[in-house]
Amino acid sequence: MSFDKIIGQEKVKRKLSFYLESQHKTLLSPHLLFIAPRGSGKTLLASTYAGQLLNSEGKKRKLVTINCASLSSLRSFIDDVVDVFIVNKEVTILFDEASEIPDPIGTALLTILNPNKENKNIFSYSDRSIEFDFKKITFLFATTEGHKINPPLVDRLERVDLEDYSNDDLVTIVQRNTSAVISNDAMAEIKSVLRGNARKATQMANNITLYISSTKKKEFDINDWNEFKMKLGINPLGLTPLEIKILKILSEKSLTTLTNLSAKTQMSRQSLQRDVENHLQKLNLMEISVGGRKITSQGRAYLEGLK
Amino acid sequence: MAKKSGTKHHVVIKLEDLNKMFKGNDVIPVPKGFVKSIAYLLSAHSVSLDEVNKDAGNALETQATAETETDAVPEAKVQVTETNFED
Repeated sequence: MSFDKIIGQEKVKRKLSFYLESQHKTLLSPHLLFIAPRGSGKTLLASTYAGQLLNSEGKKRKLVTINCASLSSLRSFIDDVVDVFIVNKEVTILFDEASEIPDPIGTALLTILNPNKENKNIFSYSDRSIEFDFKKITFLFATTEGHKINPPLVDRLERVDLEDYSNDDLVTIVQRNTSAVISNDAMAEIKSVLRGNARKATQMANNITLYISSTKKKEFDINDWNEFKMKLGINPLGLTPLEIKILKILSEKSLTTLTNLSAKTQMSRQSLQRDVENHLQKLNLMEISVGGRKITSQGRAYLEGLK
Repeated sequence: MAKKSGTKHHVVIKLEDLNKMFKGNDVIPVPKGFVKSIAYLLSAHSVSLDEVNKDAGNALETQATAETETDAVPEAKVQVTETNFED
């Protein structure tokens, strides 16, 4: 079983390899739910897994990836997906952004995925009966927001939670995705701004490739890095201008409420919590206490360093 | 507005006023509670409401279907990507 192209995620890869070995013998795979933050490689892992599932002739099954935000009704799911790709076929279906699955389809999936000894289910819709044979069909789900998926549906799936990427994993991802020879000191700077995110590492590698092709060099050293980060506006620790703005607002008062932050940044409270605060807290640059949000001593040092 | 007059329990509308709104082939939905009264009045003119109703029902159905078809917004297609893994 091969997940060679995927860096890190050793535990997950072992688990998936186990399921693949079993599928190759029995044609049965559990239906999997991949949960991880954005840019962690959920879809890549899911599609790499799907690419190794076999049909009854021993050939690789087709993968059909559905953008769940485009699912509108149970009827469109039946007409555009089930009838076209599932009925009388051997296929793997990947629900990408699975938290967006509309309720009627989520409810139908509860019936379709109801576990039983036969590993088959008949789903009745309108005046039809549609058979789902799990030796022929496997459902995969990928989402950043597992809590938004109906719990009974989660119960029917095997969860695959991705691990955090280590700095070494991220360095390997950068190196694999660019032909540039990156010096050690430049690489130390690069990994400090990747925010633990595999997609960011790939994007960084692509940008470095663009940079060296413009400079007609093969090496990328610390001087290149300094010029590169100036051109692309990369901040220390990879913080975005918005995150720095939040730190500056927090530094003005001892405690700031989320409502106040929302008013000053023109962002919704939810968006602030989801997109900004999590990362600042992860880096210990801000903290949340009973009375509100406040900047930490590390956060103040960060702002000092920018001057 | 059509001129109205009547008693405590009835409203009377002049046919000439209704004629301004309707043409010969138009159909008018009538509450089922009034059907018996109208059928009785029509029978005096040898007109059976069953036949009228059948045609009118079809016409109403066609009208309703046409309205639904006009109002219905076509549902967006599900976005799907197919991947074939070659051996």
